[in-house]
Amino acid sequence: MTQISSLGLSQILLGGLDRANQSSFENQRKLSSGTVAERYGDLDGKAVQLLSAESLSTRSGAYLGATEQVLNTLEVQAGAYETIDQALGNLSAAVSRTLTDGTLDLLAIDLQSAARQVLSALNTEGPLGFVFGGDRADRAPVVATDLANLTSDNAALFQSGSTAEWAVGEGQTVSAGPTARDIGQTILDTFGELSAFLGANAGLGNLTNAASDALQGFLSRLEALREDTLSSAARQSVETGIASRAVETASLTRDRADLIVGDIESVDVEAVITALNEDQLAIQASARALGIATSLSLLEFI
Amino acid sequence: MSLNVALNVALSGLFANQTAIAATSENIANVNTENFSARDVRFTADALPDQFAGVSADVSRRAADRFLQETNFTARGRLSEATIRSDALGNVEASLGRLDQDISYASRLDQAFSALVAVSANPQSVATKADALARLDDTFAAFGRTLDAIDTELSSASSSLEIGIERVNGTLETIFRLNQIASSSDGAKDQIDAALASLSDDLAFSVARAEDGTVSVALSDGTVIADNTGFVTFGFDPNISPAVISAARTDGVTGNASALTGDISASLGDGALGGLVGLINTDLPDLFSLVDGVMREVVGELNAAYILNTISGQATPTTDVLIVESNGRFAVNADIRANPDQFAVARPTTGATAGTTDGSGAAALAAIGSNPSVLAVQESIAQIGVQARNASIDAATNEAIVSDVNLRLANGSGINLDEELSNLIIFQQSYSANARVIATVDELWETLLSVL
Repeated sequence: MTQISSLGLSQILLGGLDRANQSSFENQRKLSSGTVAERYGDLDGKAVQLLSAESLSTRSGAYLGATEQVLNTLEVQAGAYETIDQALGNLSAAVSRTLTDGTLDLLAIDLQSAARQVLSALNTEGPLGFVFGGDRADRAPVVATDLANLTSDNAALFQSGSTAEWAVGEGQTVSAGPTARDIGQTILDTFGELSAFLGANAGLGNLTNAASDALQGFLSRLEALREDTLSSAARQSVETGIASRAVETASLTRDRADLIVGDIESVDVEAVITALNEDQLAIQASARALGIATSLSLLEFI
Repeated sequence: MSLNVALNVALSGLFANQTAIAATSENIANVNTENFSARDVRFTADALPDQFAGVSADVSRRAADRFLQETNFTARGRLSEATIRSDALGNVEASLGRLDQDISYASRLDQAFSALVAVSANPQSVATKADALARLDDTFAAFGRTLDAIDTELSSASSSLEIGIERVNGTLETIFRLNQIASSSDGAKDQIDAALASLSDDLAFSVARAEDGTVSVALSDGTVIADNTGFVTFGFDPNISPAVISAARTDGVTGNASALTGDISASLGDGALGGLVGLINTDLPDLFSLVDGVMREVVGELNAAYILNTISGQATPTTDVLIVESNGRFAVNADIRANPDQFAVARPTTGATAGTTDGSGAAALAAIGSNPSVLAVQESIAQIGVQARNASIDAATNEAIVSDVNLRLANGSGINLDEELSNLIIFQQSYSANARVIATVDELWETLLSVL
């Protein structure tokens, strides 16, 4: 079949034009969508790799968001510990001062201030609810706002709740730490007793030996409570460290997974533009050849 | 020699060229007719002793290359089969959505696990729980969409098989009828070739050709399905699974039908019917079991983890089932869906009361996301994609082969317009020349008559 206007040659030339067109269409699609493939099948064996990477990216993203909330909550909790420590420190200083200058008058004011600070710290709210609420972070763990609410046994003021665990990664959790009852009951009981002592010794003037001894006792208890608070805060800072590392790990994992997704899915624009130029040449050549072939038919001469 | 002899010779030339022009016109008219074999014109000088006898034209049907024709039949069968598989598997793949849409069941499952992580971080939020439940529902809706697509393709393949069998039955009877007139008609031979080509789309067969132009068509197992004595009628019951194809032979003379034994589907070879039987009996059921299997695995793990969870404020684990089955499809338990606060996402120490911020049960559900069962879900999607792609490549390859073989067939026995048009000019000029001879003889007669 050598005749130039034969159907066969036209068919071959049309086939070439069609292929060039299809290739150009595919490259234009790649450019407009920015993706190398439309269908899972077009990725061949890389489909599983892509889906796994996307899955890892989605889960890491979710853990990143969740862990950031946990981290923020732990940071707020650390602030609350600091407030309690300061309140106990200030009160200890006030008791020491009282022991030195021998008058009880000003101690009541310091106690009131310390009680308010501690109560407010125990009821601190973070992104995940009340930071000392344990597994009942939806409600204030202490039902008291003032020294006046406190007695020597404040168990009834605390809501029930136990220690909670927060997920920060696959199979990894951090502890929400002690509840308000664990940290605060002894402190509030001590405040209640001190308040009762001050009430009983109102207008005493100079301290008696018995009152001094009692105050010494309170001072030692306050120092011991401060140590307990600091030790709890230190344990929680370890949890904060775990949460912080979990945030970094989740972020890194997500970024790496996104990179893999990008490598598999995203198009190499430079290569596609080059291919598109080649397609353009192929289309022009095919169209020209087809034009020449069809115009040379014997039909023109009869 | 008389003037009459010259007149007769010129007339024979006139008639011979007229026949040649008719043959050329038939060729040109059939330029686009598939399986049409070109008519060749052969001029022969008529032989009479001691006389000028003129010319006669014989028209013969150009022989098609039988090897190429059989290659063409095989390639057409493979193309039909590959196209059917490619279309069906392509539709199943389409149910997964485009890559960038993220609506496949694997993507939905990722989103559900991600929502469960959010619940584990904020278990008091009813909105977060409702979102996670909605995403779980989306996941199983996506599984359902793919399973529905497979079901649709199954029933569509069954209908296509029914239609295909009707078509094949019609073609086999046509071949039997054409066999009756093949010895006396070139057109019948062309139509037999066309019928065989059409049959090759549906099944694989071998052809035995007799000298008189009749054909005997047999399946790969030797079963004769059409010859000049009768034809076979296939039968298929769409309600029987797996698909079984029966056959009965009709005697052309008596019209009596006798059933052939057993299921003949394994002997159909490459073609639309074989492809459809393969889809109905193997490909689609396998895909269905694959998707259904990975789905049930995930459902099992979710439900096993959920039964250990506790509703906030309660001490004993829930007794609800998280994912429930209805008619082979799964969805989130409607009661839990309607009351997201009843979604058990806590997992307190045994016997303890679950707190409102205990999200460890949701975290346990989310942790399933890294289990091997979820990898199997992703692999099932890749498998659907790869099968669809392979079928599509197979179809494209066979299309190219069919196109190439058609071209070669056309070169051998097909019509070349250039050749026909140049022949037309030659025959037209010969015709004019012979007419001119007749005019000259006529003038000579006039001269003679005027002398008288």
